[in-house]
Amino acid sequence: MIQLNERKPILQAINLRHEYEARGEKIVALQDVNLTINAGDFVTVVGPSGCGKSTLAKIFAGLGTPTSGEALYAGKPINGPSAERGMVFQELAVLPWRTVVGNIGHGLEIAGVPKAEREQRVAELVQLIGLQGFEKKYPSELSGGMRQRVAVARTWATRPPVILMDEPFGAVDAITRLTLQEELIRLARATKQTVVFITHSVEEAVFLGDYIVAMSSRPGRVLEIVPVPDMGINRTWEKMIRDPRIEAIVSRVFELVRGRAVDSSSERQHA
Amino acid sequence: MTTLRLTSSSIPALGIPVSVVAILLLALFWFALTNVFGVPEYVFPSMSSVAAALLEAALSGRLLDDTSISLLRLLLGAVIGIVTGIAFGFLVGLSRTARIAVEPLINAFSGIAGIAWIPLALAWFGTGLAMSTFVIWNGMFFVVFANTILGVSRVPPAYAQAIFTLGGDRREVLRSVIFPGALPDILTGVRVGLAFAWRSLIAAELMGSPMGLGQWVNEAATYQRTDRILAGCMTIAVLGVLLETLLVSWVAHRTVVRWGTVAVAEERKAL
Repeated sequence: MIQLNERKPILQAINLRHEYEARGEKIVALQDVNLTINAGDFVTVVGPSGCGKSTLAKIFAGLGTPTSGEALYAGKPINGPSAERGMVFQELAVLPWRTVVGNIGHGLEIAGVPKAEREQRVAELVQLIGLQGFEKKYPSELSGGMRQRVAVARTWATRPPVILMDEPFGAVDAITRLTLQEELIRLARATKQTVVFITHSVEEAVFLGDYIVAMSSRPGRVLEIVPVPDMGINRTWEKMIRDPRIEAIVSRVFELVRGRAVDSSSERQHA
Repeated sequence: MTTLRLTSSSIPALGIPVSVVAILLLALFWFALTNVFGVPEYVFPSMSSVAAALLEAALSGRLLDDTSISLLRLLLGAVIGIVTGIAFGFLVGLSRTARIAVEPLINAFSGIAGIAWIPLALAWFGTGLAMSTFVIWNGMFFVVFANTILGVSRVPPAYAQAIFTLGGDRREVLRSVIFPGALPDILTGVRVGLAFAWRSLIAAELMGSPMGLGQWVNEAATYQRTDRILAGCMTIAVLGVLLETLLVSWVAHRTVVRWGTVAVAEERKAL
């Protein structure tokens, strides 16, 4: 078989360490984090709150600087945010003073895409996320799920080489979340988009990821990288929960993030 | 700071705005005071004599002359106050250090009543347009300045970070995030500032400026014409309401209210 998708590293973390101070106490958010993400990967990063997974996303986005170590994009050190690495935020960061189309087209506007072309691409995205009829609405007039779709579409519109998503579906209800996850999977597969998806939900991580980066908390370190078998067109929630292989992966990742994994405790005994 | 209160509700059964009902009740009280209880004219003039004084002033052209000179003075001082208040508010609001450095000074200056500057302003500028402009600017500036700083510092950081990851630069963030994000507080500042500015103007006119509504009231006082005093006061009040509606409510309804970034009084449910 010929590998069509060239395995080219797009994001790399090398001996990443991040510390900060809170109430006079030094907190190590990230320690010895080494990670390579290839172009076209859909990676999920999962861990308990406080494991530094959001910090990792911010460093990749260029919104945070590591205390030591290096973060690379396409082999070059990351210094500052850029349109090459779009980010979808946890706190619904769509602008309340822009309409649905105003928000989705914002990145294209910044990139200087001509109006006619911009409108056409925004209309396509509106169609894709099912917000027809809501084009001229403001975020305050939308539901949480709709707002989240706008946030994703806004970042997607410019087709950045990398999309970082920091718990983007945390604030929507469980049923809407399932729909959003399935839509995201379909979109990412169809466009071979590189996505780094941060979540604290093990199920979400397993459902979405090509592989899962399991992290421990305080200090945040990478415990294990768990691959998910290629489900192809069977990547629906119903098919996945019935697959014994997936079930095994879910319990494996659960063990890891809860700090009860067998091999890590045996390692400790040997040491 | 005070929150923005907008538009009135109405009595459903009659379809009459409650604010109109309040005005009618006040008029009824006034009528009763002079025409039923017989309070003498020199203590409190009756509605009809105030109306006559107003008509006389209108016919002689005095009302128009005084109103235009007052409005000219007000607009000149207010526009300079708003522009400088917003500009300096941005400069200080965007820097934490500057904010901390300047805060005690703002509090000190805004504590001084605008009128207290008038004797000094008379010495500096005489009775001309420069004097009234300074006094009005002084009434307007600090409150717009302080509210702009507050507004700028309250814009959620994720809004700006999201625009940076869309490829936006600092200018883009200022234009499309910080300014609209700070607008609710800026408008509150302008609203409160306008009231201060209006009062400062009348005080400046009472204390020396030739012509203007304040001077009209001042002259009426010398001749003990209570009807003219009250006619002047009512003109000042009506103009104040009109200005507020034109400069603040009109803008607010097309911006912050439309976006849902400010709560409208009628939509806020009673506890």
